[in-house]
Amino acid sequence: MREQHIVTTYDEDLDKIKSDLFKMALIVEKQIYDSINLIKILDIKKAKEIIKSDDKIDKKEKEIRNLATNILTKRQPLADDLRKILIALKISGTIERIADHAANIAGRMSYVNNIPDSYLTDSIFHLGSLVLANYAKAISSYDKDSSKIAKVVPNLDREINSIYETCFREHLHIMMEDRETIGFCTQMLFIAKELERIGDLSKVISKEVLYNVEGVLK
Amino acid sequence: MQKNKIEAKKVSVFYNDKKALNEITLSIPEKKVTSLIGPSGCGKSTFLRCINRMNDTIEGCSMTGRILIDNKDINEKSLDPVLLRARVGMVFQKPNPFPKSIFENVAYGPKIHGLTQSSDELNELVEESLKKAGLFSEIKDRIHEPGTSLSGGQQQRLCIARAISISPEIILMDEPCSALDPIATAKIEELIDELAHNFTIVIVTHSMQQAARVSKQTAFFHMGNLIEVGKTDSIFSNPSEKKTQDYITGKIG
Ligand SMILES: Nc1ncnc2c1ncn2[C@@H]1O[C@H](COP(=O)(O)OP(=O)(O)O)[C@@H](O)[C@H]1O
Ligand SMILES: [Mg+2]
Repeated sequence: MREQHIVTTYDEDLDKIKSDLFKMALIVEKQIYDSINLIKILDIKKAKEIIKSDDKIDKKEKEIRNLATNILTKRQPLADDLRKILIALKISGTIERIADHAANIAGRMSYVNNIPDSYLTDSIFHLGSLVLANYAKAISSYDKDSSKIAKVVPNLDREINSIYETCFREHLHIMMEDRETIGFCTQMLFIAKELERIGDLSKVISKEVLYNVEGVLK
Repeated sequence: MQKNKIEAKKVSVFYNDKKALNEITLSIPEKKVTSLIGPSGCGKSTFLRCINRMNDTIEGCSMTGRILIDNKDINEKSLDPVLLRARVGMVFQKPNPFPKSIFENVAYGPKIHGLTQSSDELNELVEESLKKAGLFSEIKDRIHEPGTSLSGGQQQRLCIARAISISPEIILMDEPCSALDPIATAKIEELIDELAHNFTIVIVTHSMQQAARVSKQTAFFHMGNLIEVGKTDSIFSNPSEKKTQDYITGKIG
């Protein structure tokens, strides 16, 4: 059951900040998805699109900040209401940075003209899929105010980190075997790093959700 | 260790046969500010009046349970309520200076309690009290003008000067800022911070933000019951009781 404020426009304000932020989160989910797909299917046009749409996310973050400022000024929220605003600010900032990383991946992929024939692994694509899945979990925990879902995110992130390490060693091998791949593999390792960062930032989101639901900062 | 200045033990108060407070047990730490919050009619003022036995003066009002100040029961027969009130000052919602000069307003208490030996001493005490109340520099040239000629905020600080002139140990404040503008309110709040170094302060306020700003401890009352008491920070960031949460966030309980 959901508690209602005596002032109903207060509920509307809080609902709006949440739905705006969730919409922003979904746009970024699509950006991560698109940028990961570039690893499989080179597409310079698509890459440029992703880079360009990053501006839209910056704008959304500013809108959420303005809305939060407005609610703080008008309502001087306390307790769970205050936490809702605080986490919206932190999560929107985090998602904005995640979008930067997705744009960086697209940026790297826009310089790749072809995939070397001897490059046969799809471990980084796999890493990307896990990162995407974990990001999706983090934002769904926000959407549902679910500490249960939020608690899964750090576990999966640990797995992501270990796969990242494996990718790193694997790519060193590939480069040693075939010097022709060095240029491409270097780009791929940078991309792996971007993905690993998205993983860390998803964990930040899940922490905020836990703070909101449980009321204490861990 | 934190010393408790005031301890309420199972305090119930009745107005005739209507129960206004229900077994309140609450400790108030010395030289700290404690806020009482809660909806109108929940018994905050009634509780405050238990601490200086002002309820004694209300027809039909009776109390059970005990109030201890420095571990002594203030309702002991042997205890003189007049002396008690000298130890417990009170500031009300509406500033209520006497229709006398600023000086006389402050000098009145020390005079009736015989706190000073000479007029020089009295002058000094009045000046000191006005200084502590943060009012002296604003009014030093018109100390013999009527107290009622001051602005609302100044009048309230005059009432605080009057309360502290007799060196009480405890100051009770019942919504002291509700009739004041934000600047006058800010001055009173700053003064409360200052006074907390020397006095135990209990303040009733309807502003959550004010309670959060001025007090270390907050107690939430609801329909005559003490629902929750704790560190102000945690009450306003993460209350443990749902009733508290609903009240401070303005939800329909
Ligand atoms: N002098 C009085 N005579 C009878 N009932 C009173 C008196 N003062 C307060 N009450 C009743 O006691 C309850 C608590 O009142 P009060 O202590 O003034 O609450 P608060 O200060 O929290 O608004 C209310 O129901 C009020 O009507
Ligand atoms: Mg009252």
